[in-house]
Amino acid sequence: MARYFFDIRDRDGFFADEAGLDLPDMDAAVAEARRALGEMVKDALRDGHEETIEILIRDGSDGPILLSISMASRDLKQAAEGGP
Amino acid sequence: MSPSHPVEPLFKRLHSLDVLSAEEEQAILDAAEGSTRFSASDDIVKEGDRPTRSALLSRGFAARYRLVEGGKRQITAIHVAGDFVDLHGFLLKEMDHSVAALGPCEIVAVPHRNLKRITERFPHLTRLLWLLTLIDGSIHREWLVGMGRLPAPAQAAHLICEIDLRLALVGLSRDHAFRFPATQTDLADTLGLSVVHVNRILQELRAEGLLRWQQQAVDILDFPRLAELAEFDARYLHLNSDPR
Repeated sequence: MARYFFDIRDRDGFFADEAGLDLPDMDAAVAEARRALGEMVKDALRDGHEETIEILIRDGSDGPILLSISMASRDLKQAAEGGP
Repeated sequence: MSPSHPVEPLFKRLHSLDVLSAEEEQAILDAAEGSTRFSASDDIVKEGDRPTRSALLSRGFAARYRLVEGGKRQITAIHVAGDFVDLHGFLLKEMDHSVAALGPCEIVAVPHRNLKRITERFPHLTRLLWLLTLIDGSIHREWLVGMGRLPAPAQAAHLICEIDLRLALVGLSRDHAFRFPATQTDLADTLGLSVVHVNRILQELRAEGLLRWQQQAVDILDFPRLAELAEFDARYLHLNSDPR
């Protein structure tokens, strides 16, 4: 087991993880981060937010690894007409 | 009876629902056996067990849970002092879930044969015990609504409001401040969320000045705003006293 820290950046700002979480390895840490991203995306989509959510996983030796997901909508008709 | 008698929290809980007679209090005292202490995470009853005694929580917290594939745990209920944790086992016989200590806790055992005697001799007290399991059910319904329909931060805020009010009933929360030994993993398993997300949510609730949570001490700084975020309406807790 090693302690992994998950810092989050989203539309509300930067949330540094000071507690950390004990997990068997970096694969487990990435799996945990993916799960968290999924939950946060769900709420962001429901609330109509267009944003990028990032989770930076850090520990003493491996990584850091950055997971990132962006949500955006585009009006394709306007884009085809050369609109903004 | 000294105020520290282990059955006292149950009396407080029942007094919050209706008037309890001296005979009914005595019937509970006669039915109760000695108390047992459990350490954090100890199982009190296990899925598949056929207990012959029901556990009454006299101190601390307990959690009902199920384990799913891969060892993931879902906590389906949190119990506070004064809750008759597995009154269910009296009639269900075989446990369909486990109950574990959430932090150190103390249990008073009430043999099922004694519960049976209460149901045969004390119809009003029997209705009150029935009512306790009905309220357990209404709390399950509220959690289901939260998990299905509330954004994660609201769901977390809702749980904190609920624990506060339930502890206040038994005198363990004052001015919205209480001791709560749940870890972030316990909270994540309760809310059906990842620990990372729960950590982010708690940081946000702190940053917004809604609560302080340090070393098992929770202090809700702005209950009305926390309740508003949670869409919290205490009706499902049935906090009123009524003739039953």
